[in-house]
Formats: sequence, C-alpha cells, structure tokens
Amino acid sequence: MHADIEQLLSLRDGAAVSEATRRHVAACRQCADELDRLTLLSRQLRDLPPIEPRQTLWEGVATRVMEPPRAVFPWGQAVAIAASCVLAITLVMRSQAPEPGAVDAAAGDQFAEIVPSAPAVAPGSDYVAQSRQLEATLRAMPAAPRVTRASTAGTIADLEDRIAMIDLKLSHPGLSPQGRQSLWQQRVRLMRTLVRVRYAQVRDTL
Amino acid sequence: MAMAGFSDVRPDPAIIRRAQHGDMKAHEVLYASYARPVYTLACRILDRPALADEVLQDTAVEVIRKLGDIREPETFPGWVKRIAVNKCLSQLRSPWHKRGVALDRGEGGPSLDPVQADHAPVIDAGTDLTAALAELSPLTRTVLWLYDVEGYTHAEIGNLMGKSTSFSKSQLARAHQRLREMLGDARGANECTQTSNNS
Repeated sequence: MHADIEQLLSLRDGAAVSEATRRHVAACRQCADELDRLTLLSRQLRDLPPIEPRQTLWEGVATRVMEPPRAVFPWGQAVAIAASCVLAITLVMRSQAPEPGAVDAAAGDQFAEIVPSAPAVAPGSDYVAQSRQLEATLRAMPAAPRVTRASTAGTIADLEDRIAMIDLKLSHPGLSPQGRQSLWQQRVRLMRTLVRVRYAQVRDTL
Repeated sequence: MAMAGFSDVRPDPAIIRRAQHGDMKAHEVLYASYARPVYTLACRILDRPALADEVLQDTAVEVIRKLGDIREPETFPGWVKRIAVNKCLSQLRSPWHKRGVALDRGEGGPSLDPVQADHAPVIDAGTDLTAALAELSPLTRTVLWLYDVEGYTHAEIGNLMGKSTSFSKSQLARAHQRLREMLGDARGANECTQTSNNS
C-alpha cells in the first residue's frame, strides 16, 4: 500500500508517521518520487515572485489616519431602527426565491463556518455560540449597498477593525481562560453592534 | 529566487520608536518595509488585487493605530503578518467577498480572474503554478499558503479558522492533490498516491 499525500506531507515536514510508512517510502521509488515532488512544489511556492502594490496605496492610508475622528454613530437611534426593520428585512429576504446558481451558492461556503479562534471558553459561557450566531446573521444579510453614507461605512470599518483586533488577541496561545472569556464577550458586543449598523444600512436602501 | 517575505522585514528599532511617537515619516518607512510581503500574501490568498489593496491599507492603518502595543521591535514582522492574515480571513468571511467571488466565477465558471483591468499590479497569471493556485478554493488556497509559504503550523491555522488541526491537514493534502492534478506529473504518479478520502 502506497503512502497517501497526508503521510507524505508529514514525512516532508518532519511530522510523526508510522515506522511502516517510513520504511515503505524509503523502499518505494514511486513514493520517494512523490515525496520529492511535494518538496519541490513547496519550494516553488515560496519562490513565486513577490507582488508590488501600487505606490498610491500609502496616500490612502495616510489620508485615513489623518482624518478627524469619526462622528459618533447614534447608537440609540440605530437600535430603534434595527428593531423596527428586522421584521421587514426578514420578510423581504424570504419573499425572494433564490435564483439558480446565484450569489453564495457558487461561492463555496467553506468559509461560511469559519469563526476565528474558537477554543475552549469557560463553562457556562456561550459567547462563542453567540458569536457564531451573529456571524451567521451577518452572512444572511443582503450585500452592502453600492452607495453608503460615509459615517456608516466608517463605523462598519471601525467595528470590523476592532473585531479583527480581538481575533488577533484570541489567537494568542498564552491567553488565560479569563482573558479569553473577556475577549469573546467583547467580540459578541461588537458583533451585535455591527449587525445593528448593517441592518440600519440595509434599511436605508429599502 | 528568494522571496521577499516577512522574514526580510527588519525595520530599524529607532524607526519603530519614532513611529510610536507619531512620526508619520517613520510610519511611511515602516510601511515601505512590509507593504510588499503583506500585498503578496493578500494577493496569493484572495486572488483579487482590489481586495489585496484593502488588506494592505487596513493592515497599515491598524499598524499605525496599534504600534504602541509593540514592546520588542523584533516581534514587528510577525505582528504585522498576523494582522495581515486576519485581514485576509476577514475578507474571506465577509458576505461582500462571497458575493464578489460568486459574481467573478459566474455560473459554473472555474476560477477567479486574478487580474483586474483597473489595477496596475499584475499577478503572474502566466505561470502554471499561479494559474493552478487560482483554481483552488479560497479556503484550500489559504491553508496551503499559510502552511507551505508562511510557515504556520496546522494547529495555528486551525486556531485562526476556528477549526481543528486535522482540518488544516486535510485541506493541505487536498491542495496538493489538486495542484498535482492540474500541473500534471510526467512520472505517472497516479499509480502511486491515494489521497485520504476525508474531503
């Protein structure tokens, strides 16, 4: 029985493999060739040329950083608007039968289930589950309109940045359980806000 | 050819300190040191230059805003890389991205268009390997790139994606299997290797 790719990749990368597999690959010309091919491919990937960004991108960064602080979003109003439009949006979405091959179907929903860094959380907490639920809610929402108020777009970008920052912190292996729990709590809070803003954004287009 | 990756990002600690004190010229110098690896990472993972533009800009903004968190200058390259990877994953998770992918692919279309007409940077779509990479699903391509090029472990990739270590391993195997099918193998290795049937 020849080695499969996972076994050969383990051998290539110095990970644990059974002694029988190791012996087989050492004695089997085909498997040894395949192992060489995997090693070569890895090197070819690393040797792909770097890609130069456009020089003007820095100007955009500097402009964003120099912008005055964004106006505070009227959260109370957003919550009220969101509450009143959830039902309307749901009805609109349900009334639209999906077209064959439309939008997300072809996208491959491999990423649909991805929620960053979902390690163990202290018993009794369901922040991870809430976070997943909110991710699903966001995914189910209609796409962002082509034209959005600058303040709304800025608020969304800011929220996404802050969520990404929490994701980064959650990926830190040395995080204490309490710290992790606190981060998930913050993430849920931000995700809830993001959902509300997105609802408000979608409502503006209805 | 040696790739100019994150390992080549070695900014002068004095520049980092100046940037931490709000010196935008120093920030620009820092940006020049990491822009290319961040952009390359984003292009390879997202396969869409417009999104790679966003990732680079979002990463740079976050670097500027959070640079004060850095205590050890030698951690700077890894820190920037983590921010960039998270920005890429955020792009892939977003409904906007998925909609864009669907539209790019068209009905039954096999792959994304790696080069957009309004963008000067050209992803080297002419090479077989780059074209084959573009044919992989975003998820599989991401795992392949993070593991084989950026040096992440399966455990780290699983953690980043909220998945298991074995998930990362199986995606990597799938990536190599697909690349092998697309790139061909004159040695007739089809007789040799069976992939795991867990995809």
